[in-house]
Amino acid sequence: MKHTFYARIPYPILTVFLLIIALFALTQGAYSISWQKVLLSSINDIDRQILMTVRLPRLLMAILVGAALAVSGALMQALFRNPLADPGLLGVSSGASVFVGILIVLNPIAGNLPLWAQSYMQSAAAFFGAVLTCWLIFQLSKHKGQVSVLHLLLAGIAINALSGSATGLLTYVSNDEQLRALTFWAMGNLGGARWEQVAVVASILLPLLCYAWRQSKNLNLLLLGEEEARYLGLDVEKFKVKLIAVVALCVGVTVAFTGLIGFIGLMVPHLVRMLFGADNRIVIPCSALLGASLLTGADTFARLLVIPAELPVGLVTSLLGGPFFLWLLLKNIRETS
Amino acid sequence: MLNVCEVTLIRSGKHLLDKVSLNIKPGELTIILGPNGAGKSTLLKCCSGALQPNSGHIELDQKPLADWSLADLAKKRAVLTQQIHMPFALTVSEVVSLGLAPWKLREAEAMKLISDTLDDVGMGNTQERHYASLSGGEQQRIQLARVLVQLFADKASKEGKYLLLDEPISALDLHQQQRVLRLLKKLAEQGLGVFCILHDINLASLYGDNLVLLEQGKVVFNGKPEALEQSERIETTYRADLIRLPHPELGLPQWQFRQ
Repeated sequence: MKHTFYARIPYPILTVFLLIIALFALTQGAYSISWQKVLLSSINDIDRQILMTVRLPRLLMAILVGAALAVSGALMQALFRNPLADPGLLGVSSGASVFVGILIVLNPIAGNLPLWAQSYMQSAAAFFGAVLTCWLIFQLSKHKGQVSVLHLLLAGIAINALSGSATGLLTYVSNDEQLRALTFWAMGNLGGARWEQVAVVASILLPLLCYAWRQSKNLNLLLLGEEEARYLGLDVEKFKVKLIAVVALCVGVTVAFTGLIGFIGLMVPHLVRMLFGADNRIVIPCSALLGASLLTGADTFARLLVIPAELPVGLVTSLLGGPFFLWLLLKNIRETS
Repeated sequence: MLNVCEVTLIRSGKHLLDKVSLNIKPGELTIILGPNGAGKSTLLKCCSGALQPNSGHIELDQKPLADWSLADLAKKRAVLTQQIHMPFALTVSEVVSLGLAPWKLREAEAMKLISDTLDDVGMGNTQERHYASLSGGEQQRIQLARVLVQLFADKASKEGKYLLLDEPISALDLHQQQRVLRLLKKLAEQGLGVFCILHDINLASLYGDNLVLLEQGKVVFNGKPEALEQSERIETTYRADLIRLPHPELGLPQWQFRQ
């Protein structure tokens, strides 16, 4: 049954899990630092230098981005009433990435701006792209007032294909310097995280995550269907617009700063539902915690696997997420037929 | 009183409702009947505020329905639509507790109300089970419990509240049909205004205080079941070959197939 021991105490379990992974991420790498020393904060100057300028901002970025991706997955699943909805699969991320690409390649002044201004501009472009694709998906997948899985996934395929060719076109017309910036960014990487960027990302994502948590009761109403949610007093049309804006902002910001990192939004909420139940009051905060842990873990793994080089973290999450998606899809087909 | 006056609803050139007038009074169980496609569910959607009629007006307690805020409306009336699919594995008590959304209740009060209401619909001790693992009839009663707690959560009174149900017994066995209809009758006696769409004319005649018969968007009968005793109305509206005979105990009109 659902109320097993661990289902009663989701937050302590997930918080401890995140702390352990975070400690692992801080101490392991091409240069390892003893974790006992980190815990007792008796580290030497070199250790402190590495922690403060490289590992800590990177860890915080992974936590923020992981939480935001997982929560936006959970929001989209409530919005579309479907466990297969995910910003990556449905093309929201790649739609956002096209607009960042356009900004990098076609904007001659962007390179001369300070780093924080560039960051905000990239976020704005990605947000615009994400809103546009969300709206497109809604239009394409609505069938007789219902969102059908088939239309949803087909819309995703079409949008991903379109974005792929647009990105290809951008690489074709870009010069050497832009091409480097573009490829480096598109790989999906947390390696470049600096304190300024962490501050910008946190300033946008933290309020959004709080908002999502506060709306979890209304998200539960959406599970009944739009008509029924209205009968229970929820202004569904307004709420949907707000949700789309939150998802688009979350995805937009993460794409702008870390490129394409897929499948977190698909895997994490599903795991949370299996472990702790489908009530969104639990699913939203738990997805944030587990998403943060998962991305931190994946990023550390990507750093450790090919020392001194590192793999793009998007590659690691896709390696995990691809088979997971197939399993989920097969399960879904079996249940509906 | 829920007052429906001369309501006409036109969609893609078709008159789905044609000058429909009726009153749903607190303390009465009003049953809506009619063949497939007569406009029963459409009428329910107009009465619950989901659809705006092209002409005519609907008033709830002397105030136009369109002027009610969604939040106030949710405290005044509850609506049960047909067949609700839940995409994720919620438990029974989680589904029922969604009906408490318009209200602020303490945890203990909420749990008590949920468990009492589940008992009322014959689904006691199922709180921890997964909604998706239940049969169609059980799910239907869980959803009924959800709309009931939406009205019961108001401790002040049940009076002057409205329950709008679209075929609440379509998936139930005989025992459960009787249980639910007796429950609705009891709620009406306690002061609720109940609007209920049914398919079974015999049950409608047995339990309804008032019957409204729709045919192609028009009201062709509106009155007490006894008034159908001497009339061919049911036979002509449903275009079925029927024998009419009184109920052996209650004398209310009942209909049987002529085979």
